[in-house]
Amino acid sequence: MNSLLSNKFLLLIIRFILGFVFIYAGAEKILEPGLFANSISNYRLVPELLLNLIAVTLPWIELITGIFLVFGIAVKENAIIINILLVLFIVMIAISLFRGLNIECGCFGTAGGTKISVYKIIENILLFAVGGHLIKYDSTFLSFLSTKN
Amino acid sequence: MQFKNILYIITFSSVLGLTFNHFNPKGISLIVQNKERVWTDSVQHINEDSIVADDSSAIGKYNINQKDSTKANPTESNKKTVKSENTEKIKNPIKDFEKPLAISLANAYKLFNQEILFVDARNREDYLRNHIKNSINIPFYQFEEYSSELKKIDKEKPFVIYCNGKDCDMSDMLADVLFTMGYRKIYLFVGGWEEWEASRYPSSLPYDHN
Repeated sequence: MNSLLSNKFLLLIIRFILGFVFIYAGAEKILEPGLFANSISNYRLVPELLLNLIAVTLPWIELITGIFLVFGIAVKENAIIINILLVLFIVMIAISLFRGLNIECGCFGTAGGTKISVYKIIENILLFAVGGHLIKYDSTFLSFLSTKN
Repeated sequence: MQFKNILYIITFSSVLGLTFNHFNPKGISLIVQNKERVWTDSVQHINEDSIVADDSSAIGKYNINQKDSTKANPTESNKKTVKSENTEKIKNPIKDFEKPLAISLANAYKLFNQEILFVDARNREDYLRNHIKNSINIPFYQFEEYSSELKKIDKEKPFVIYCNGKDCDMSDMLADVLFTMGYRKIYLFVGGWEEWEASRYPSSLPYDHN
């Protein structure tokens, strides 16, 4: 079983999946920073002073970690970053659902148009599981740069 | 696996983001905008631009709608100020505002009569219940869903955004979003639907008379 889970092809595939999801997520938000800042402010959780700063930097963190994952650069580190982000997203969505806010997720910039829901949380948990898997097993197959020593 | 790599990646990405934002024409300001509204009482310049100029050579340049000019019906005093500033005004199209400008009910009504577009920032339910006549709906909290409505707004022409009233901030927020998107001629009708309804100004549905 362990060898199945640590199969390098499987790891490669999930690395690609996670990478591309985040490349897409980041890119969409980079294209419309104003709208993304707007989406974040809807959550009423981020202090105003940090709002625009986060709107500007977060998408790039998503994009770069996504790209690094696809190219197999520092896979474990990037998977950790992604999982931290996912935890943040899950918490924010959960709090907002609890408060009864009927707001747009902003998960994929303007491409979504989806409201926050339990489905979103489940989606993020699944991505988190994928990330966790990569953290545990790493994926050095077909990578440009490995930090494994 | 090194934890400091995590820090490097985050820092690197953030720097890229800040740099990109700096050079991006659609970029957003990192410094928090002052939330106070800036009021203006001068919506007259719209009237002036649509009045047929004495300098007839300028007419073709601005595609002045003859219909508008007869409708504008300038008063004598208006005409006087218009005449002196006219050559300058006609040659200069309405300039972009520095930020959305708040206006009173009276000025909103004036703009309404000039057939300026009104945008309702309230949610769909409220809009359907009743709204300023001929206004379009772009609910602030469902902005992405209604983004196709933006096609109806001409970036070169001023338009008015409103919501419930002075305590409602959806119009301010919608104005801010649209402003960053390049719509630089926004008036904020702060009094909103409350004031408009109270004065029984034109609405899409008849007011209840009870």
